[in-house]
Amino acid sequence: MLQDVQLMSRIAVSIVMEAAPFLFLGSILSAAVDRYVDTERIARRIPDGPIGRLAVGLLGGMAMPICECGSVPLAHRLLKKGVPPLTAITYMLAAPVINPIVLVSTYVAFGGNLRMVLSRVGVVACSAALTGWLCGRTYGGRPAAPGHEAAMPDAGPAHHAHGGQRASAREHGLRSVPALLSSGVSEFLDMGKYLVLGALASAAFKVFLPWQFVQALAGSEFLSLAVLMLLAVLLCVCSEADAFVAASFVYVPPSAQLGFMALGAMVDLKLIGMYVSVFPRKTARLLTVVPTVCVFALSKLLSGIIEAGG
Amino acid sequence: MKRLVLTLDGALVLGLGLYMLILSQAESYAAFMNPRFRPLTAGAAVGLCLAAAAFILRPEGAIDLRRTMCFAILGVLALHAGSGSMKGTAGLALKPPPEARIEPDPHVVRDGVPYLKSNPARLFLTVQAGQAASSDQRYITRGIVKRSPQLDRVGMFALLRGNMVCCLADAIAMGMMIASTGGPPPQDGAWVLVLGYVQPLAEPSPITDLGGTSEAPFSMVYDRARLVAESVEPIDRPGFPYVFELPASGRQPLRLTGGDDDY
Repeated sequence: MLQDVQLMSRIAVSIVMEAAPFLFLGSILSAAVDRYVDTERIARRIPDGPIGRLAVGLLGGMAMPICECGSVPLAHRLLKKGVPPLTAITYMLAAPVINPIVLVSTYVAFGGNLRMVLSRVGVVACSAALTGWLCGRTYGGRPAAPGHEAAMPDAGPAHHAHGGQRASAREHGLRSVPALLSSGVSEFLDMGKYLVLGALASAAFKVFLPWQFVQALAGSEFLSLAVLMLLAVLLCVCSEADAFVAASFVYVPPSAQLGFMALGAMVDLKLIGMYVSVFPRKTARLLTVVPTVCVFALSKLLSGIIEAGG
Repeated sequence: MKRLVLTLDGALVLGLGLYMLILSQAESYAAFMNPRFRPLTAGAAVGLCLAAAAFILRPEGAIDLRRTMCFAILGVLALHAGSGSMKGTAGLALKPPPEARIEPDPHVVRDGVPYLKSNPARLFLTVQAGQAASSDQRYITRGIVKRSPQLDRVGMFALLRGNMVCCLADAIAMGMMIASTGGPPPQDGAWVLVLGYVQPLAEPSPITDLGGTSEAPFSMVYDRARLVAESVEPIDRPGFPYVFELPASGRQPLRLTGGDDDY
């Protein structure tokens, strides 16, 4: 028992250590966007039409690759800066997968199976786009007026934590760096709370879950996809590593491996905490439910194609 | 009060940064993360330390006691996690990392027969990728024994090593089914050295009742081949129980990646 508790502590610490660099990067980027990027400029650069907005969201990860922990604070800040939800939410969900690093790692993990790579991209892109569109409807799709942050409902104390930033935003050059770092830490603390709780819950599941039972369920054709999607939520594996973990599940059909990789980058225990923290409750629900349903349906739909390629 | 709590928040982030910085330079890092991520952890740790110092000097935002509590819990977890399963190392003692050692000879010669070193996880990936040599290729491999009712029924046991891709959270104990020729199978949890050859199975034979090991709570053996053991010898648990294997990206076979413990 003592050994199990120590293993649980080590797993929790390792999850935090793995995610901390990306969460820190996302927090600093978020603070930088808040301080240095003005709303008008952002509004000018975002395409007017829904297809353009969607394309920017889906392909943003190719230009600015970031894993799921970092994408949440950044997308939240972009939303507050007036970036349309269709772009910001789609970017938040798609960037952890549709980026060069993850595409290559998936290709390598599956021994050069291009169908698996394309299927993963397709499933994530469709799920992210649909979720982004539905979240856009929640917000009414209204961009911020120039000079003002988007009218986005707050969800918790995290949103009131940066009230002092506007005043200090006039600082320029090196003098503004300490203030930028301080804002970044404030954001890191707000998000890190959910990272720690998610890591702890994930480690507890990993150590104390009866894995024989899970393995037995995964042996069934019908349940394997659902079981692996549940594992993706519980294990909180980083999107850059999850393809290697999925490839190790040799007993399950490729559609279940696809479901594991596609969902884990969009919904897991730590992300659910972050969604609840920074988004209104209705949006947080959409961010959890829509990708789950989409991934399940699309993975099942694509199973024939992937198996033909495997 | 507000200033005090925010200063405490900053101190906790500073502590996290220092912990990550020290761990990134210690041998025990490999019990938490794949050593290839040392530079990433060290870089982020320096950034966190600098940012935390800025936050302590010029705190921002409202207080949130829940987040303070969460980071305090993380501190306790880090202290409790210790140095992981590193045997013979003193916690965070700074020692040359295992990956810095010289690459050893990939073969061991026994009675004039060369055996290719391969840890059980690498063997799993090699066989899965169709790169296992014909049955005249002999392998020498070390791992932890895992018994299960399903394997007992067919007179086999599993030989496993905890394989980490990125961090301990994704570690899976991977390996092969071992068909032992003669003698009772070794005890569950024992460390053994196995010499033998790979034999493909006519039908896939998934083993679904393995559970985990003390290094990784989840196990997986390759289901389309087994390692026929010519010899099974008990050994001491190696100084470092984990391996860091990735599948080969192309047609080249996997190669040794570490030091003397790397098989």
